Amino acid sequence: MILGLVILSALGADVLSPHDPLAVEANDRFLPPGPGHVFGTDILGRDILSRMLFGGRLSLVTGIISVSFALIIGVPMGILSGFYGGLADRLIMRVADLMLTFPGILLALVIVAVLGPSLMNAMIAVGISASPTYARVVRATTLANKTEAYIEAARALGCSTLRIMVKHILPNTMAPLIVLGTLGVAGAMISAAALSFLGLGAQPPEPEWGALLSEGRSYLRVAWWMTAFPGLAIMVTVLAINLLGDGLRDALDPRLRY
Amino acid sequence: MLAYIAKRLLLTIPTMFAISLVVFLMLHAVPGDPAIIFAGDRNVTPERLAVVRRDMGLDRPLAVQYVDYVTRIFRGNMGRSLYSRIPVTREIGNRISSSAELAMAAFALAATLGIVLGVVSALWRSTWIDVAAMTFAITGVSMPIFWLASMLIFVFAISLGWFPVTGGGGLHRLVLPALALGLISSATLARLVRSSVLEVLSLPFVTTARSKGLAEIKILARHVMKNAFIPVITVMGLQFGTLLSGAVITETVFARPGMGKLLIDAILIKDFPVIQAVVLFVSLVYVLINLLVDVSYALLDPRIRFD
Repeated sequence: MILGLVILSALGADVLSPHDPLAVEANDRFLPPGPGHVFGTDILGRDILSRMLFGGRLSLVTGIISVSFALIIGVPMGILSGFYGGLADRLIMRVADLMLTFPGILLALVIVAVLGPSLMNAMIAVGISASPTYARVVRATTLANKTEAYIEAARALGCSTLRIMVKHILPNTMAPLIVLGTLGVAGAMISAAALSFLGLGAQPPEPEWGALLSEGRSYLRVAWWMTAFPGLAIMVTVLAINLLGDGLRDALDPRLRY
Repeated sequence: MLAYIAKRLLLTIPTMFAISLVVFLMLHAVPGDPAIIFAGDRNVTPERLAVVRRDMGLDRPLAVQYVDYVTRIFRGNMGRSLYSRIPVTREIGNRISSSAELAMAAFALAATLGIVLGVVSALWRSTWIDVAAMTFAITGVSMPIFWLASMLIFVFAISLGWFPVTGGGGLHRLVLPALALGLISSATLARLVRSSVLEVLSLPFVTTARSKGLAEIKILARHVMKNAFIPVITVMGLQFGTLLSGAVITETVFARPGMGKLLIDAILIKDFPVIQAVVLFVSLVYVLINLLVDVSYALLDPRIRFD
């Protein structure tokens, strides 16, 4: 079930090119309802389905890139913090805590406010605001592994510190990171879509799913399909990713099976 | 225990200062000269810029500016909106009640629904109730708020005409937004409550209690719940944060005159004094909520008191 849904959403995004004419902005027809075009058209006559398909690519990529940012920032923070301890640890953790004191998308909002509205900035913003969580997890695993015997052994063999960190500790942090990362992509997609919805992320005419929803909002009375379908797409994709993440978590941590 | 509370209280003070520092730096982190932002238009003469700079005190060292900023806040002056020239404090004051009622309604809904669903799912595990509730939960967690809000509007306000579409004020207008905000939160809570209760139920002391012959209900109420709720309370605190940020979206969709909408509008037109003030305010509220959570932690779990 899990895989089925995920494959569906992944394919849905990648089978774009041949599937529909790149008629993202082609025909000038005006809002015919429902079929004719499978999901209808929007005010400028653009086919919703095509926009959705392209948007799918955008949204998925956005989610993945955002999480990548978060990982790039968070993982080194966590490892350095856990490994060196002491002042570095306290300092880094204070910064992470500070970032976490901002509720939800507030931090992302602030970053976008500073950088200006654009999809790239939205990705950066979401990535930064998600990084403390990863930092924390990585730090915890690092701390746990730091005192293990094999680290001492590696040192005795003359491994440089960097090598120890990368080759030994990092792989051990993978398991929780994979789960968090997967779920993170789902969250990042929603956050990025939310930012786009508010006009702070993807700018028109980029067909990012959140932006599509925002476009549809003004015409809710007349053309409900503009809003319904992209939103459903977001939901189904995120659902699939969440299920995948849950499945991964269960698989990687037998303790949680009840 | 009092010592614990006092310690936590004291810790919030540097946190709040740190937040104010971040908020203050926001203005200066923007690429470009802050003076230009304050001056407003694009074609500012250098003389005008200099005047603005002196007026807003931007020509003084950063540290001095910061101290000034904080002292002004303590006196209740958060500056004026760059566009409407209305004191920000007043703008916030106008909108607090709208946001507050939305947040509380949504929170009440989320907490009640989430806890009930979670407990019921845990107790009747693997029955259809469990499956139904968890399906609802995982769907809810995947739903984007703005989509749910729009759909709710469409179904209940436009098609069925049961509720007004937009605007603030009045119980009538509170229903749909609170539903939108609260449902998703309740989904997260339900999942957590369920797993937490299940975990506690499998602990040895429960079996002991049962074999002692205690009535099931007593076991549940006194032992299981207290323990199960520790992580739940933390998440409820976190959820409040999500609610606060979710409120931003909900208010925009429903056009409610609350602080979230104020913030978004301000960001779109780069009205920095407003942005700073709202972010500061919301973050402080969140810090306070977390403080409450921590305190209730201590009340529930004696182990924590001896930190």
